[in-house]
Amino acid sequence: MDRRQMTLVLNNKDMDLLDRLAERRGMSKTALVRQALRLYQSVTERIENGSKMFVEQPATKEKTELMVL
Amino acid sequence: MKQLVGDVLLLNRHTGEFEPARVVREIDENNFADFEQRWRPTLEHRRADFDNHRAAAAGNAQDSHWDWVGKAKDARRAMGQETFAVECDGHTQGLMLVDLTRFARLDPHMGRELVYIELLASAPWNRHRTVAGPKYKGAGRILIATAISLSVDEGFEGRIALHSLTQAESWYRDEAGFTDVEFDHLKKMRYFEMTAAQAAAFVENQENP
Repeated sequence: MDRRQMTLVLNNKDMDLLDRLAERRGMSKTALVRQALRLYQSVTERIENGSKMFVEQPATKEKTELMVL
Repeated sequence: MKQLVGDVLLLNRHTGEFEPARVVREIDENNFADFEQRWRPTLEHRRADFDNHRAAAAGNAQDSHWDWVGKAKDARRAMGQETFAVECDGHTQGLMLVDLTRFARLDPHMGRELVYIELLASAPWNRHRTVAGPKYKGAGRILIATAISLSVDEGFEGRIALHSLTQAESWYRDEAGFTDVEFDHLKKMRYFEMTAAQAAAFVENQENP
């Protein structure tokens, strides 16, 4: 597969978060960033197309609308 | 742009010989032409033998309305979607569209990333019940192995999932080794998932049948 390389500069807080998330998800940091981009593209395209996205609490069924700026 | 994933073999049922084939990523205009000019007429002709969608399962033609070309073009723009094809004898023998933005429902992997197989189909001339003497065997199995391989490459440990057409449910459950998770009332289809261990077993079985 064709691949291109870039350097990602993060502050300590963001890098710590990336480290923790990658460990929790059992993924490399590169795989995690790629997955985050996929989800971000999916969410933003749906919202741009007029869809609304909600997070539902399973116990109470309370829904919170997800806003993407 | 279309890329070679790997070389494989398909069994020609007519001759009993294995023939060289290849798996490619990002299907292109040649695959679109195969679908429009070779797949679709056969599928629509077979679909016309049945009164409704449910009955068309008996002719293995429930997918006659799938818009492969439109879906594949959408997938080119979406980072979370990929298309694959098996090509042999100069033609498209199988097609697959996958989505990488779904999450597992099955314990112990609930909420973990997986490769969701949105669409998977063999060419109509390779299908039992669609034609009298199906030609190539193995395109579907190769594409499932490709989805597992993608899942591993993306750090998803081989986890995959799909919703099954009625006529394929027993194959996914009994032959491929998926877990039959539940009937999905939104999709009106059964939902199947393969854990990392099941995926490893599928690949092992593929390599050492």
